Amino acid sequence: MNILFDLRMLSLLIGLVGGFQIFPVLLALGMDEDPSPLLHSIAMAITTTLLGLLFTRKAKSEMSPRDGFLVTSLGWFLAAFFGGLPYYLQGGLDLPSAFFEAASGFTTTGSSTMTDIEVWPQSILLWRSITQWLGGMGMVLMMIAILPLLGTGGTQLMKAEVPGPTKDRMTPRLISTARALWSVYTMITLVGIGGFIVFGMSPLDAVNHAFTGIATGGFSTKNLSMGYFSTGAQWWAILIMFMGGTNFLIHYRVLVHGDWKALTYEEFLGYLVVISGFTLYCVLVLLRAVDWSLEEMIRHALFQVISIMTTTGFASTDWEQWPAVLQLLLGVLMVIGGMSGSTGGGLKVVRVIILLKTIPAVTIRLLQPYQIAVSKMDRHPISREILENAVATFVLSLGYVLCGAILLNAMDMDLLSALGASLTAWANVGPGFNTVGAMDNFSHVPDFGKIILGSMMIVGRLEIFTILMLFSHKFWKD
Amino acid sequence: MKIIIIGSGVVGTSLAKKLSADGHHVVVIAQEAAVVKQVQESMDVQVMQGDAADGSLLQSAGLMEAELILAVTDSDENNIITTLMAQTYNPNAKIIARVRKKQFLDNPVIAKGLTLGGAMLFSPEHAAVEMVLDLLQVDHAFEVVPFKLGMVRIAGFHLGQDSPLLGRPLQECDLAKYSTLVVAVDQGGEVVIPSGRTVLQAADRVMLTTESPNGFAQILPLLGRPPVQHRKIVIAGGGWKGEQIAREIEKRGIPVVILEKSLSRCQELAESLDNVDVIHCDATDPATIRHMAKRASTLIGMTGQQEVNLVLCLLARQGGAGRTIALMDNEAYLTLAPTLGIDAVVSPKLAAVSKIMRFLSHSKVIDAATAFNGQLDAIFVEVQARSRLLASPLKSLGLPKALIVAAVVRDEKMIVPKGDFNFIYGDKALIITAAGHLHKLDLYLGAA
Repeated sequence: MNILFDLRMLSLLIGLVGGFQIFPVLLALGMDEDPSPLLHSIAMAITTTLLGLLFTRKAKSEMSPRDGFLVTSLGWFLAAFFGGLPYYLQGGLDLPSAFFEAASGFTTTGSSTMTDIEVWPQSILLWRSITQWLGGMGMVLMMIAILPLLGTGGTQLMKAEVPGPTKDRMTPRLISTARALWSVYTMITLVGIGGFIVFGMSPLDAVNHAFTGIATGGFSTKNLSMGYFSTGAQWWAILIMFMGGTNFLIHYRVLVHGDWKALTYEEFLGYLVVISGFTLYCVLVLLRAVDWSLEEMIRHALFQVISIMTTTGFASTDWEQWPAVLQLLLGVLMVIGGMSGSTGGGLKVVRVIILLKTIPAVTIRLLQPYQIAVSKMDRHPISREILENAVATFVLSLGYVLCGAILLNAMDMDLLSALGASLTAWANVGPGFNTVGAMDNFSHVPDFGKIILGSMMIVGRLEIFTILMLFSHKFWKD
Repeated sequence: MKIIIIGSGVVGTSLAKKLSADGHHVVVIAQEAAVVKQVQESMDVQVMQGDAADGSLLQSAGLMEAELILAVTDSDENNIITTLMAQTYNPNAKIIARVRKKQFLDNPVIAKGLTLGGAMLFSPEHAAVEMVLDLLQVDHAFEVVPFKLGMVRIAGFHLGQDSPLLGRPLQECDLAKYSTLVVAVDQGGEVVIPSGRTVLQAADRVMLTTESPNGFAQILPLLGRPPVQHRKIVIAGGGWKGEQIAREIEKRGIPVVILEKSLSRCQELAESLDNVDVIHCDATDPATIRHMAKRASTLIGMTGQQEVNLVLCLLARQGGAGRTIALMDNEAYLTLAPTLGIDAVVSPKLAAVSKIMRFLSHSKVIDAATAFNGQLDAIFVEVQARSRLLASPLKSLGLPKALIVAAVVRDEKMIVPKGDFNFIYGDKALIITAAGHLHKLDLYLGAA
């Protein structure tokens, strides 16, 4: 392992987190808010970065897979710490809450410990949205895009950060892949901002919600979340969340290469099927439960399904008032999550498809023991490695969510809330059930619980294995 | 530049590594899953798995946008089919295909590396023969890189125990007296461009240029190498490559002996070569090879089996051969051979790689090459009218430490430049850098 270079990368990452706080400072200056909490936070981040760079200036830029996992894991925790400083310095949140809030931001979870969002300065709220926007595509990927210093080492970093079982490159060079991803992401974000403004949001709200929508984060600047805004804005948010939950490889193929065939990827079709199926069922149940107009019913059903499935966590209405079966369905959607290579969390649609595809193989073999059954995806056989990845991730996530729930339950959270909190933290959704539901927040969770949940979000965002690796004996043994 | 490399053997992966490090966009098409993974993990390139003769794969690898296609699989037929297909779909791409069958080798058009309908066919065997012949031009060298221009060449040597260069800074060594410049040093695998303060150690390998009229022969004592007493060259193995080499050396008027096991092949060789002694014997017999090596300046292990070549060279070394050169392709042997005391190894595959790299060199430069297993870049450039190189004497130009001006050709004459050297417009400079630093030169070549 090349610890010195790892430290250098971490220093740069902290610098990146500090550097992006300039934008909220500018807003604070423009709106006559006090920029000093942000300025202090920037000063701390930049000082750390400069000291780090000074100390590691002799580092050789070589990276092994271990370095990739170490930098990414530690990097996300450090980002959550330095990203949380503004909340702490502002004086509204204690340190565990600030860590929770920032972890929730960077991992695009969207759970909050702020009881009344609307009393916070706009600059701090903008910072909250920026953390989600950065975390959506990934800070490490941004470093790869900005810094040409990585060479092949970047492959290791990308592997540790980008979600999904396979990490396809879109272009031959890693740096251009990272740049392509970030530019497509930025492009869609700009379109999102424009749309929200058209549908009546103030420019500032539009920026905030486009940032957190495309990142499938779910932070809002309003207590009522998207329920505060116009119908048109809600429809627009549906589209933006949908784009955020889509594999960015598909965006890239379609937007840059005009390759519409990318829309026939099985994962994308599965994504559409799940969304439409669940929405349809939702509407059918709502028909008997509420007396809304059809548009309202479709809009709220579709909004909630997409918001939860893409793990955004925006709410257009308080779905905890809905029949219990729908809440169960939303829980299932949390587990499925968005597409691989998207900004969404959860298990990822592709893994669910792979797991389901093992079923026909097993049944065929029961009928005809000598038949060779091969599961295919996009007309390619699913490799054993990818299957193993899907199964292991599923099993591990299941155990992980249960452990989290039990731990939180031991801290005097009721079981449903604990399970909801644990699930929502792992899947990076935002809202859970019961006391941490759609219109609630996490301020009442004990300090230690906040740290646990914040960490769970990071572990979930990096798909567990990246972090799990650090606890394996082999990782540290050369 | 967008490049597709088909084949992931030594040639394919070496080219991929080098081209990607030079900043090109490289896509590698490989057959085997294990190789795909290995390449993807270790290089910044895109890897696709499958058979390149399958046109759709080639297209999804970006055939249409590719500017260069290298077909370097182990199969000649595959390479040729790929070439034809690539030409059909993308007539603008430059295509280089590797062939090694004897039918291709003896074809006079291909042998000269001429292009056929936009594609260039080349063979590693030719490249290896060329490399051996280059080596034979300079005694004791383990690597010789000649340039097209002005008889300039750089040569690499192992430093001998009693070299006067050892143990003191280069600036005290008075290299100027020998009109010689040390342009690179390999210190235990790390290649550096030396400064005046660099101190050479016994195990180091050095890369030199010299303007002395007798070439490198004159500076051998400086390197701790005894002068060469005999001229005879022994080639063990009379295959196609052995024959080519013998024929070339014969032309230079140097006595050559070929050792060949097969009687009928010996007969053929004796008939086709005029002044070459063809000896029918088993070169792996220790007594024979020692006897043959006794009065040989150089013994070249050229049999078809690399293990045999290795052993032959070791035996020849014991027998007192001045220098041993072994032909081998296995990477493990390549790294091992120098530590065993074999003076030079020639790998057809790596020779092919450097030949392709030379062929690909930038249009702005006159010639370019790599040395020290690709760890050293050498380029020949013409000094432009407004180049910063013209501003002041060499020593006060403030050139980056990773660069060195190894030689200058002015009016067809080679000069090894010293600190007070002044460039003039039209000079052609050979500049050497550690791999990956070439871009630092751009600043000096363009306008001030």
